[in-house]
Amino acid sequence: MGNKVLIISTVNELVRVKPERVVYISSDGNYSTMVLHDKSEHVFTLNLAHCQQLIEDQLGKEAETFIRLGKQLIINREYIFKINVNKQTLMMADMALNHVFTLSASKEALRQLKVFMESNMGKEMKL
Amino acid sequence: MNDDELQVLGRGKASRSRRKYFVWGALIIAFTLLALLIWRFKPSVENLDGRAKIGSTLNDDLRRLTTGLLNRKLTELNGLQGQVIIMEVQTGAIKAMVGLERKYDGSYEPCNNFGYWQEPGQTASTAVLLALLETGEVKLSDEVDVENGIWALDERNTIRDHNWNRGGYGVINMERALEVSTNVAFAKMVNKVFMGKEQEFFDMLSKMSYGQPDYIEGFPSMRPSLYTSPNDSTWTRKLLLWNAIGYDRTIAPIQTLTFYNAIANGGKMVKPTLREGETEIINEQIASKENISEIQEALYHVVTEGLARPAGTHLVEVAGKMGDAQVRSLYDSLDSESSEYHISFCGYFPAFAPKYSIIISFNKMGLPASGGQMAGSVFHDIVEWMVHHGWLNEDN
Repeated sequence: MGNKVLIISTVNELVRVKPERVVYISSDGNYSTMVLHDKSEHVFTLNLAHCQQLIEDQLGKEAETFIRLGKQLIINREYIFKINVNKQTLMMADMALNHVFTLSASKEALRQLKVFMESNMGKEMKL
Repeated sequence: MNDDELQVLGRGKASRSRRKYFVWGALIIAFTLLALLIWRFKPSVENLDGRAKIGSTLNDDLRRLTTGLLNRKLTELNGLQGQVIIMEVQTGAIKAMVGLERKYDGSYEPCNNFGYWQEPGQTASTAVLLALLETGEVKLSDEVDVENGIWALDERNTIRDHNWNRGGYGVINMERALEVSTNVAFAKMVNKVFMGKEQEFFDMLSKMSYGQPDYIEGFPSMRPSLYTSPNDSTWTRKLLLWNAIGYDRTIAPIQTLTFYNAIANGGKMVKPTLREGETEIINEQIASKENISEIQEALYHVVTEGLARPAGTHLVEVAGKMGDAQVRSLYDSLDSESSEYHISFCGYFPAFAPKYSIIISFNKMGLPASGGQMAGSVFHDIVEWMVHHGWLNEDN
């Protein structure tokens, strides 16, 4: 990861966070919830597409660490720990965390994520 | 990676911005191509009024002058329509092109009649004489007996000279025949040389690119010169003699000018153009240099010693040839007031280092019809104006 910082600013709030601290962003229509590795949650009145644009605009190439999964999730691929297509669960964790975030997504989304991660085996160090 | 359910961030953005650049690039290329196309086909708009546009060869001052002169001449003669085209000898660049036609109220308005297609009369004699010289069988000094200026081909067809009712020219050499435009001399000489091998006459004219070009950009009404040749079913032998005196073949003034321009240019025929810096060669050498220089000398004498004296000026030596043809007759009667005449003068100047070639051509009803007197005087006025306004200076 580089030194870029993600800033999400709304009318009343501004959140400044290093991208590697973001585990995932989930959305429920016009609201998005950013979950950080310390389990803290930050809600913004932005839809997921808007969040995606902010990430891409601010992080440039480094935005590739994030993957949009379906219409409700943006995940940080660094935290992907386990994908279970049948159970439609995605576990997010890494050795620095004492916690596992369990997300659910559609089978098709998880299948594509699994294929994508398989195709990137051995390349992750390049990120 | 950009499936329905999965999208790696940043990559989509890159491809989106690439797509954006691609769209902008495509738009810029499309606009550039469109601009080029518009620029390329601009003359078809340009020639509607003959006005100069950027990148065009036309000169507005010259257009105004020629419009005024042609208007005055047409008004004086009660002309039907007319055109003046001025061209640069070396490059074929058209410096002015003015076309006028009469409205119902008797005034004249600009029109696009540069491809006006009709029989030229004796301006064709220059091409015929050059064809005769090219055969090697005729020299300018060769004599012909035109007798009293009337040659009855048969009961219905008679070729006459302009002075038939004053006794004709009798024995005359070919150079003098050109100077005084005797139809009978040309008809007799062509009859002597080409009768029995008529196709060679047309082949010779084609070899000299007479009647070229078929088409010029910016002259939408132009058509190829049309004539009857021995290969056509309507051919009769006497058509050879009518061709010898500038009948039976229809040709546009710009095509006649192109031919005279080639003579002025030492035999190199260039295509008239409305675009600055674009010179296209039609025929590198229309005839031998010797014959071209003989014709140049003869055309100079047409003005100095022949019937085109009104075209001459003391400011500069000019050369050219006049022509008149009875192109339409309402009641099939000779020299009637109901006949329409095509009157023209095509020439260039300076005579021995030509820089500009000019054709003046118009139609009028009834006699008198004199190319030298009527069209030649317009040529004279244009040349004097051009000389006075520095058109012969080095920077022009």
